[in-house]
Amino acid sequence: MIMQLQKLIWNLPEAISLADVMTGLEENFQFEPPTATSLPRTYYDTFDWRLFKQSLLLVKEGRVWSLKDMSGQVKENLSGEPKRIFRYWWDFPASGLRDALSGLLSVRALLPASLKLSTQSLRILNKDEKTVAYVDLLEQEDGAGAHLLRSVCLREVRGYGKQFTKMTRFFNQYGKGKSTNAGEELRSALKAEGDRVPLDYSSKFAVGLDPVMSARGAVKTIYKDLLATMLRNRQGIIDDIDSEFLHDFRVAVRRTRSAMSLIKNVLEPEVAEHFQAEFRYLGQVTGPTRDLDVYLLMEDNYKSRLPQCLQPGLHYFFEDLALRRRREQKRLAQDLQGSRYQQIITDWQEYLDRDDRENPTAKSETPVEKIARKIILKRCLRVVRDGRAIHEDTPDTDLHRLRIQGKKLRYSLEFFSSLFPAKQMGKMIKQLKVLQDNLGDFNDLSVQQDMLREYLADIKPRTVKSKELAAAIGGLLTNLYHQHRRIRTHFEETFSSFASEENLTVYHQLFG
Amino acid sequence: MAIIAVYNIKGGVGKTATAVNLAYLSARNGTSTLLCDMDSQGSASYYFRIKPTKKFNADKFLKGGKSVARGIRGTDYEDLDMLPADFTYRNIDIALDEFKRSKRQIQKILKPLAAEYSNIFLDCPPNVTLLSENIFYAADILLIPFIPTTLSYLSFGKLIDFFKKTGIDRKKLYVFFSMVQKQKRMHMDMMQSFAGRKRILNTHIPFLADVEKMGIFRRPVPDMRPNSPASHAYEKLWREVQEIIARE
Repeated sequence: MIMQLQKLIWNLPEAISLADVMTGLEENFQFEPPTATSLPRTYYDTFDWRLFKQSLLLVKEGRVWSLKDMSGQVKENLSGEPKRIFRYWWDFPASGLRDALSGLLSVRALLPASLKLSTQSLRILNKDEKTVAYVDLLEQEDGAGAHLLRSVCLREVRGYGKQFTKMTRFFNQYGKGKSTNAGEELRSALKAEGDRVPLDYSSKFAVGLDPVMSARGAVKTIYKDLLATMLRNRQGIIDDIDSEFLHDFRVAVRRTRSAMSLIKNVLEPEVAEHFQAEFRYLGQVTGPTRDLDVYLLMEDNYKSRLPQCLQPGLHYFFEDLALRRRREQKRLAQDLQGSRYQQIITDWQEYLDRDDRENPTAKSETPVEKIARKIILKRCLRVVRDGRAIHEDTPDTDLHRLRIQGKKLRYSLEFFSSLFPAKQMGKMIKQLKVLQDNLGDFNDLSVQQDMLREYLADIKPRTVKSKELAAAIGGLLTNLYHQHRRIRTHFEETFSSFASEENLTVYHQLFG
Repeated sequence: MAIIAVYNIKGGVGKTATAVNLAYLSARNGTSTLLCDMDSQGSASYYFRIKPTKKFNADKFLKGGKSVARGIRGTDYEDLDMLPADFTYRNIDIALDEFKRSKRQIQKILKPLAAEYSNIFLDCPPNVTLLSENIFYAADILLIPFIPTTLSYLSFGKLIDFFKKTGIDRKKLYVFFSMVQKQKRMHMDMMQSFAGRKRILNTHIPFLADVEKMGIFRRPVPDMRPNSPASHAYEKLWREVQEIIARE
């Protein structure tokens, strides 16, 4: 029944100073001398903009956290929290905000971008000296004293709508008022702190190729994009911000290696051979930390698999993993700052920047579209052939090999997807993903069981702790074993839907 | 959540000062608060420098709903809104005739507002009228400022009689001593004679110049003179009223 109070914001043109605005106000309105405050305002989002992508902004002012939409409407807020750093959603105390963030952020950390706004607040008065509107003049300067943001915020006082309208007309000389400035503030905060802009990073692979590009030009475009991903994520791995930096880095390395083995005779053989080995090295040094990350992220999942009485042993297990991870991460951070890493990156960058026409090879000048069709179709037929050979008694290792083949097909579809109709490519990648998820889960469970068996073998007996630990690992192994078998039974169904006549016809039509 | 009416049959006992200062203290805690000026003299409205909008009058008020919501204005303080009184309120009893002399009309009007404001204060006009009877029904707490004199005592007796006669819950009544002058023997004797009786609050508000000066500064005392004895007295009174609200 009570109306929401209005609020409007004007961003001032470059040429207008706050003093100009003040002079204008003095000539037209009566107000109390302004009070000045300076309050930091910090915006938070993940490295890959999970909030911004959903048109959301998380902002902290003083001790108040609010999750707002782009129109400034507050979705959730949390106030009165002590001065603590909340990096992940699980760091927040139980609240609506925490629940909202858990779904949005998943495993990613929040990164801050701060803005220091100095505010002059004035009360506009009527002839009874009653406040009839609030005006805030806001200004942000960066470290070098350059003005980044200058704005006016007008707030309504209930029952004084006429004065609000009158003031709105006055401020409209600076353009049209908006209901929120949060987007601009975020951009400004980012500008003050570094060179980031919203949505400047996505873990999704998307490279635009031209069908008439030479094969070498095209693969270099792909490699450059993957290299950029590695470079973007390196610092996050060293600073150990969250597990996704390493994950994205490793995916880029894997894609690079995969491209080298899938797209043959395009790079000079000795170049391909050399970098194949170098990227294998990057895969190796990043492996142990990632493996431990995967287990540590499984903590809640594993807990839910065991009865209460086996939980203490599991706790020791995860304590031990966390300790190992700290050691591995330190080593990894050193490797990524070491000379071999630097050499690989510099050499690769230099090679990619060279003229495409240097040292031509058998297929370096072939149009990329021709090569792409051939590779995708070949990969598809290989998956179908290997998949059809699988029956009930096939050993697990064959399913793991099929997973690798599937991955190669998926990468080749992704590398070249810009050359073919987007809708169909999207559908095919999705369809393949269903099969890959089944095989991936199957493989993960298999790897996890291997790891747990090895872990069990290494436990030194004779203490209470080791007894509890062994019991928990045993319980977990049993549980994982059953799930592993269950997933195996779903394979046939999943595969036959992928290898359907209809689906294969589409492959032949598009790539044959 | 509570509807708190400040009332006395007699005028000039510090009703408006109580309503204004307690409403201010309620909002100062961040509790959304509405102060309704029910007195056609509009003293509470004057203290907040608020005039009713041109279209607002007793008929609009009694209509309730959006017509009331449109009459609400923001004070100079966060979380404190006010419904100013209009001079037409002086004839509100006649206007109530249109509602078949209903005793529950004010209750009906306040109900939707209670969903939006945590505390609602009513600054009531003196006398026993149909309007005050309406307010007795609507209020959760009837706060009675009481100058410790014989005349006050007599008028208080009349109020009790009225409650008995109409059957309105007397447990809503809470009395506190107002404009107390310690140097006056009669004040002290009167307060002494009430000692230990139920529904008498422990806090009393002394007779202080700062309270009178509210008319000059047009601001609540705890905002104008935060550390004065008058402010402390109202803060103490508000704490006691909050305890009652929590108990109810």
